[in-house]
Amino acid sequence: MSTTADVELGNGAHDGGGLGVDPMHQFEVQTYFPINIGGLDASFTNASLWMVLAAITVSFFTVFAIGRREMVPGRLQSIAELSYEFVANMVRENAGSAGQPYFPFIFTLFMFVLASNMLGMLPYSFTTTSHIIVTFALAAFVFIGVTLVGLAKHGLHFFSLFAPKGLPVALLPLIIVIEVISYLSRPISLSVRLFANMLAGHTMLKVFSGFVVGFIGAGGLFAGLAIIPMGAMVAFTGLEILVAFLQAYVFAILTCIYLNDALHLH
Amino acid sequence: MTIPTERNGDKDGGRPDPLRDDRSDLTALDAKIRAHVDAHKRKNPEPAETGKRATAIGMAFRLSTELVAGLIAGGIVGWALDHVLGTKPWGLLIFFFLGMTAGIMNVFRTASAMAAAAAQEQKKPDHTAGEQ
Repeated sequence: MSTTADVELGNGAHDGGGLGVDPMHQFEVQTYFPINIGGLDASFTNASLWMVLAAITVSFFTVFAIGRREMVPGRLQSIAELSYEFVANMVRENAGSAGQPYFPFIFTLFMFVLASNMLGMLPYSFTTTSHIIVTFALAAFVFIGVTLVGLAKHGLHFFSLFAPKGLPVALLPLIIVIEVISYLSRPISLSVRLFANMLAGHTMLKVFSGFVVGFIGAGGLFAGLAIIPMGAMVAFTGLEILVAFLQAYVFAILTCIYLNDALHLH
Repeated sequence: MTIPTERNGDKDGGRPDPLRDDRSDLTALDAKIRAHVDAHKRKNPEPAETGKRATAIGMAFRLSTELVAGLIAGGIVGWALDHVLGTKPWGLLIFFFLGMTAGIMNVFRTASAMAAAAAQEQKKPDHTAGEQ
């Protein structure tokens, strides 16, 4: 925890004034190498860096960890095998055997989101999933992909997804419009949930660490009181690690459920 | 406690059927482990409890985002229709309410799926308890 407090002290010195900590400073995107492709800003930023790091982390756990392929797995190999089985079970239970061909995609998605969330828990790091554009890009990819899978599998019959059976014809136009909106809201709820969880959690951590710095800065009796927000921060850090895992899990399981809907029209 | 003596007896004796003896050893061990796990579970019910609370927060958050997402999707569709058809306030107005309906429907569906999952979850421990 002392490292996190150090980060706050550093930030405090940077911003100055008040409690000395800007809880939103951690979400600022900073450009490392400006790249401009045909008027499009494609610069390599800290967000790009941490996404690359997430991809490298996942590759390390899945490629290098099973490099030796031992019968009795070591620690790293166990992590790789456990995550594989975890996602494989998730796909099997939620999308059935027809969902098996899409396992690589869901595994990649789950591991990438999990790695991004977990790397975001490191002091001085940048949480890519706390930016809605990142989560929305992932969710939009899932949404378009699942819709294309449904269209390829069922053709125009896919649109019966929007018309529940056994409905009075008079109600049909209204219900279809509502169902279409409900379908369109999927990528929004998928992305907002992940983004809002990460944003809220990290902001909360910063605010509480700001209290620690503020109390210590006040000196005297107040410095002793700093232990209270400090203790709360330790607990919240544990909670945030749980949330980081839970949100990656929710993202992957909802992808499975959407895929299941597209594969087996209800 | 009985297992080591049984093993000793096995080694000293003429090993009439080692396979069967091994298996009875294993079942005895299995029963012992199960008794231990049960006792542990009875003593410390907290981990499951905290897990439940965390998923309850997750559920609440899921439901609220479902509702908001319906509203946003409806709003975007209405705004886009206004933009294309030039029916300025009406598309946004009507689709905002349709979006609200879609959001409530989303929440209802998610909640009923959660209830079904919870009912299944409640059935499971009873089932395993019945086996034992």
